[in-house]
Amino acid sequence: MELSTLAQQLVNGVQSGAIYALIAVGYTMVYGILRMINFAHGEVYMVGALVAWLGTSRDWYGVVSHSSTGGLVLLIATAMLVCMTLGVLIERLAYRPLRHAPRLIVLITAIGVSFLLQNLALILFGADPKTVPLTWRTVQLGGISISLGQLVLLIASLSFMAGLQLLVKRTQFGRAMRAVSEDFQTAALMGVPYDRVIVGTFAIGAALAGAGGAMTAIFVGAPVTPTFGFMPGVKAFVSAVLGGIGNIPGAVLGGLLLGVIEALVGGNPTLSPFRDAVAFCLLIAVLLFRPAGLLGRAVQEKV
Amino acid sequence: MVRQALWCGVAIVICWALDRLLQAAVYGQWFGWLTDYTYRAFILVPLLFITLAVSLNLINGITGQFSLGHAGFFAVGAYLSAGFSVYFASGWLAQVPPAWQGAAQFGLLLMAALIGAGAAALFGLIVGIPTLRLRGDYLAIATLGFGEIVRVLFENLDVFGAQRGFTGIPTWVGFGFFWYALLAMGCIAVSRNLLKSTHGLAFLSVREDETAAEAMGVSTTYYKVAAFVIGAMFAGMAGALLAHREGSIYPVDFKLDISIIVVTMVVLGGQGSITGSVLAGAGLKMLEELLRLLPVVTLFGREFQPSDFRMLAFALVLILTMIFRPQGLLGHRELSWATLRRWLSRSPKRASVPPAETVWTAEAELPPPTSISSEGEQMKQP
Amino acid sequence: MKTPLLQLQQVTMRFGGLIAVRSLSLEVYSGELVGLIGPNGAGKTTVFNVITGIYRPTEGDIRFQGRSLVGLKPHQITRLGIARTFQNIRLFRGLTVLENVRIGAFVRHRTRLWQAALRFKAVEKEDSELEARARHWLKVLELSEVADVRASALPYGLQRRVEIARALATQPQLILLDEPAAGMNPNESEELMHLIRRLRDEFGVTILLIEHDMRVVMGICERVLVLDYGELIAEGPPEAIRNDPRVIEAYLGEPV
Repeated sequence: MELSTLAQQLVNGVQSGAIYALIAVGYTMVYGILRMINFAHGEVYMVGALVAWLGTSRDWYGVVSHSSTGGLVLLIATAMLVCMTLGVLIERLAYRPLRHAPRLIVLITAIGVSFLLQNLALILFGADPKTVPLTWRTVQLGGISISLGQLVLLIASLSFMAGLQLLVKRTQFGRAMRAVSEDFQTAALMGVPYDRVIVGTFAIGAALAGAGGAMTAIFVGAPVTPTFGFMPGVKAFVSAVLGGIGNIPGAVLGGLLLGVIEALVGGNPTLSPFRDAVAFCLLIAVLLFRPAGLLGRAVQEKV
Repeated sequence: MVRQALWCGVAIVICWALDRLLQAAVYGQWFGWLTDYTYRAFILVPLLFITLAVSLNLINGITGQFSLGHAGFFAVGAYLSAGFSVYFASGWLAQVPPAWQGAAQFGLLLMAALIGAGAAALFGLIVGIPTLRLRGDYLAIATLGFGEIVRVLFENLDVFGAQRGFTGIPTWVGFGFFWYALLAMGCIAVSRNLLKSTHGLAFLSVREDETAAEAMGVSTTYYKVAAFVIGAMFAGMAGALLAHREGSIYPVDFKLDISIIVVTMVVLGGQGSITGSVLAGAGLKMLEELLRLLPVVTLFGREFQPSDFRMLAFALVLILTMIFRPQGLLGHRELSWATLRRWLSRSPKRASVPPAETVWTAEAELPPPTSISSEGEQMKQP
Repeated sequence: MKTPLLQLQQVTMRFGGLIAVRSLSLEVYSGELVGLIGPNGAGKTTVFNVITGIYRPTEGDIRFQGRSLVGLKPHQITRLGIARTFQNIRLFRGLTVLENVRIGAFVRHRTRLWQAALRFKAVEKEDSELEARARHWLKVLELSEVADVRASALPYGLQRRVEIARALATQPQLILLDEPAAGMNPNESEELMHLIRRLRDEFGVTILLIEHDMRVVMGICERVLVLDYGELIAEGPPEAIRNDPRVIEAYLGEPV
């Protein structure tokens, strides 16, 4: 493979990996706090993309007619807000009643919610793929052509993740999150308002996923369908596991890694139909050989 | 051995008789509502899903392994049996003299079904072994992954028709009732036999507490894999029957949706309850078909076909069951004649089915997560 | 000196940086009633877990009737004749008492799964044998009345007895009891002591038990092993152990 093609694929891989990472942090945060996998998270991503499409097709904030950057920012923010609300709603309605239920039940419910959202979108918006009517110039960066949109997407995603890291490390809320994820009961005894922490975690995760969805629709022009979120959701979950579930930097690392590996496989003519299978194979490999993930610590179960 | 043969014989005769009866009723139009369409929708398809639900129940409900990939076994059975029939058996059949055609078809169909079942069982082995160490959420995703990989595989293999679908499958199943009903009965019988025996207790012990089960001499490996293999085998056979009745199969018939529908049936019926799976399986499918018969609804100026709400309804059933009645309709218990008599003879006090225990004990955990930040900072008091 | 029934040779169990059991060597002879004591965290349950195959020892060997147990899976070890109970009772909560004990008896089954699937006469015969055996053990432990009660519905003391019945149903030669008297009042522990002695005297089961209740240890154990920080610090008859300064020091207090 030529170096420039390799580099090109790496860039593509990092870009899609960044999206996986954005979604993966949501999974990992919720798992860290509640020990549950929010199956519906992929659908939140889809809703973000849907909002973005709605906005551009209805020309909200003049994004299309005036090519307004500010409008774009507003649109993404709107998508984030909608998704944040959705995430909180899901938590309140579906997961909160099951806070103390056995994990299997929560799992099944999460699957149900995921399905519910997919089919709601199907009914309300139809199955036909919807594309955002915006185009982006391609720029050349040292032999690699990258669309302006992809570039913005990459920078934005990385900024979001940096922002999240700041939130977790430097703010009081972040501290509370870490406390609850380490030891739920002690944190509660120490006066940490864990219910608010939980809602907040869902909100942040959903906002990020929504941003991811909106940006994918806007900057990469991916066609949005109701099942749009399924594969990215699964891949983001794999990323989170790969990096060590419950570990935010791990999720980012996992996402980028998965994106790159996928891009390399996709670039290879013989392997490319199995691009989507990469995630599953990686998952099974991780679960079998290093269940704690790359950045995780293996913990023994006490018998 | 004689006893088994006897029972099989009885079952075969009953199914054959009912098959004839139904055929006469449908084609002779004995009842206005019993048409070929309603027969298929309200009798055949529910029977198929009874088999799928009861076979999944062995894996999910009785052994406590959460499999989300049942559609994969279904697909393997369908495609591989169809492949056999289309590429081999049809050729052989052509060489058979006309007098023997009927018998030959019967035999070849049996072979195809066995191949489908065997292939699916093998696949069950392939899925069961690596997933041995996985619990809960991870197991669910891994099985989901396998199911999807299977579908993607068939979707991309031209020899199986790829996305266009696999057509031209000889429809040796014919009217269908005989085979579908026989399979459903067989599946239920095997499940019941297993459950009632002490071997069944071994499966249950794996569900209840794997560590304790191992300590009591139960090879959890063996029983987990066995559950997958047996469950897969029946699903595969169901797939083979489907292929040989419809004449064509498409990858879209084996989507994740199907796995989730079957899971919903098992959950609604009560994980571990065979009668529950039967009732929920048949019931949900029939309700789904009823939805199709409802007229178009106009909401907010848009027209909605109630059948579009099918999957939505399944999802809602799943969620509501989990929140309000996680043990399903029948919990772990079966609905036997004895229970029915007891219920009927009792005064209108609520039937005291003891609430099912949590399916997982607290010990069945994923590896605990590391702290959110990678350095594992201690929490500092603000 | 006859060969010991159970022998640990320099067994070390390491979890990452933590050494739970340190070069432990001990023997249990057939027919003995041995106690394993030590302060919390001394590694006693870990020793049980290593013997029964839940953990694989980092170093060392474990021999049962002369045969090495290292690398065997728990169910294989149970089949060889070692049964155990758990510190925090691990009954099959959704199943009845009888069903729990039947699973113990199931170890000795000979029919195959496919025979059960097809409801062979042999399976039905074996099932009734297993049930009879289970009921026998229920009778011995005076649990016959609660045979059809859900395990989770029983009071704590009865649950412990069910766990012992279940372990006995596996027809072990050696039974490992992990804190059988935990949570019992003096009457109950008195009954338990009688029971354990009966197990050894009437049924010939060798017993190794972990206990914190010194009354029980002093009352029935013929020999006591003392563990502290994963090491064997004392061994001998109960009276000798009770007065051993090292033991007293390890416990930060006096045995009752």
